[in-house]
Amino acid sequence: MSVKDSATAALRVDGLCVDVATPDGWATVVEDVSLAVDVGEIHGLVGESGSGKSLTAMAIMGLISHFQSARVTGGQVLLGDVDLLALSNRELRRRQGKDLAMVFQEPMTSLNPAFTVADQIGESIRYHLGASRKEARERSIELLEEVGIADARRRCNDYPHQFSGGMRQRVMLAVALACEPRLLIADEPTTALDVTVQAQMLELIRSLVERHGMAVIFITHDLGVIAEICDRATVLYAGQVIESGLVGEVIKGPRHPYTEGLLRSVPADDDLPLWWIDGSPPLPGRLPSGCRFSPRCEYSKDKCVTDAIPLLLDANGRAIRCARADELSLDGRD
Amino acid sequence: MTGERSKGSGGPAFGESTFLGTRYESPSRRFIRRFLTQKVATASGVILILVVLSAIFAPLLAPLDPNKTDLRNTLLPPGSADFLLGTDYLGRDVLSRLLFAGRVSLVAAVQAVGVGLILGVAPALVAGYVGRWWDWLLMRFTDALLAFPPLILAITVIGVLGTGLTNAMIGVGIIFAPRFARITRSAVLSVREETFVEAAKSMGLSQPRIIWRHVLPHVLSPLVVTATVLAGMAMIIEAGLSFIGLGVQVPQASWGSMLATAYRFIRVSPTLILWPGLAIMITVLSVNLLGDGIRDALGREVRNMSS
Repeated sequence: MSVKDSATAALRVDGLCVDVATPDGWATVVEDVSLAVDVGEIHGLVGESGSGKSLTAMAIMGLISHFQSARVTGGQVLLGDVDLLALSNRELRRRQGKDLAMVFQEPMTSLNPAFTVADQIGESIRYHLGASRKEARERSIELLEEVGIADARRRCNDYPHQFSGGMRQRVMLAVALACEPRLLIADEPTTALDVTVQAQMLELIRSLVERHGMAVIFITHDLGVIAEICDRATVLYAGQVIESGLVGEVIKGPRHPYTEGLLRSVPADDDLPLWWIDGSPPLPGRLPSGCRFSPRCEYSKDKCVTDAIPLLLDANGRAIRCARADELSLDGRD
Repeated sequence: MTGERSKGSGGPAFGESTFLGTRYESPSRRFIRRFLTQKVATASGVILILVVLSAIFAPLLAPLDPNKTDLRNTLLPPGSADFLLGTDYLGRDVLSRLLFAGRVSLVAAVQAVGVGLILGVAPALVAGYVGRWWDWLLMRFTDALLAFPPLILAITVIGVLGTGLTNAMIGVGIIFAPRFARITRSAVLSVREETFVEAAKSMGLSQPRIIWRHVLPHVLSPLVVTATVLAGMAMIIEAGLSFIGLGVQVPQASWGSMLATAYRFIRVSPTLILWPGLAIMITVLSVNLLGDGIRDALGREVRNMSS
């Protein structure tokens, strides 16, 4: 089932399911996740720790097969008209880094300390595009300039430890952009950065997306960041999509109590005390019956805990998984 | 200040800023600086270079033919005319033999460590990175090899391949392989979990390429240290094997075989046993201290409280 029916989507994920190994056997931690990202669009993936957002990203990137303790059990990941999940390892490797690239959360450890940054940016250029050492170097310098590294021609000979966290994340972006990917997955790229640097990074990503016409999946737990940079947002809870839609609509008028809770938990300028959602997400393999959020939901009624709640789509491409969506009137943020 | 960086347009510029008072420098430069601050290790390095040079230029340095017997001048004491360190029971010049024996001993150490590295590192890299049953198989095989008495294993290999120093050192290399394998594997296990390896996977690099480019460089420093320690051990084992007649064959000399023949004449000419013994001791000690120095220079920077 597709959340957004769109023929133009650069990436379409349909009914993705991922299991992880627990002491009690395999447990589903990503269940029937669907999303679509257009060219030039930034799609936010929001959720608490353990909501399955990173595993979703790993599955789309084709990195799950490297995990011994996780496996993709169903669904499709269509990049253009190619199902990435159906590719052989070899074909997948040809696309990783070329058609789809990823930026990781930890800028301090995601670059290899043994090589200069030019080496690392050039690596995928040489590997995927067969460029010569010299061409790769020139392209690396261009890319470093593009991501805003001053004096790139000289800095490209430096090692990662000679860069600050924000600078390294820029280098990581240059590595990801090296082969002009069609899809960029950014897994909490700004979480480890200072707030001021964070704003610069978001601006940079936004401008790069516009210039290169990539589709971007932006993973974060911070709805403030989502509001700033994303066009669409999908909220995950316990491995399920619980709400999805245009960022403006989701933030101004959330229709799922969990989204409302997340929005109220974003610190604001007013003097109201900081809000939080009681409890913690359910553990994989120990999901409550009915709505998975019901034990923590202040609006929970009997009908919420009996049957599994379907994800309902409205005409505008908005999706909500809540039994009381039509009865509740929830508060958003401006 | 400007000469510190090999590349650069001269003068401290952006990016050359100081961080907590430490200048940024390339890893090799930093290694050399940190190594040279250790006086013992530096001295060991110099001694070792002298030993290697004396072995290489033995034909030029040796005053006499090391294998030429002179039965009129046997067991002369050190300081005799023409024989600086005296002669052995066949009247051969001890100094010349010592210099040529150094070649044999050093080559033997290099052979043993080389065989150990080849047999130990490559499988451990793959097993550590791939994991699963590969890893299990290699580690059980390693345990089995380690459980085997080293000297018996070396003698078995000599029994199969025939006597001779190279065969003996292949045997020693087989003994060393599990030690290299363990060090490599444990280093790989920690590097494997690094984000940059994950990032390399996300770039679609092949497994051999990830192991070669992203894992191996981080395994090298513990390997270098282990190699120096085991090189010292190889010389001792070589001496032992030559002592019992399984290593170098007559008339060729190694420090071990010189010891073996000298001990028979310890009452008549006690100094005869001293020279090869000293040579082994000094060389092995230098190699081990050098290894310590390399380890300290590669490891975490120790904060110097005085600066």
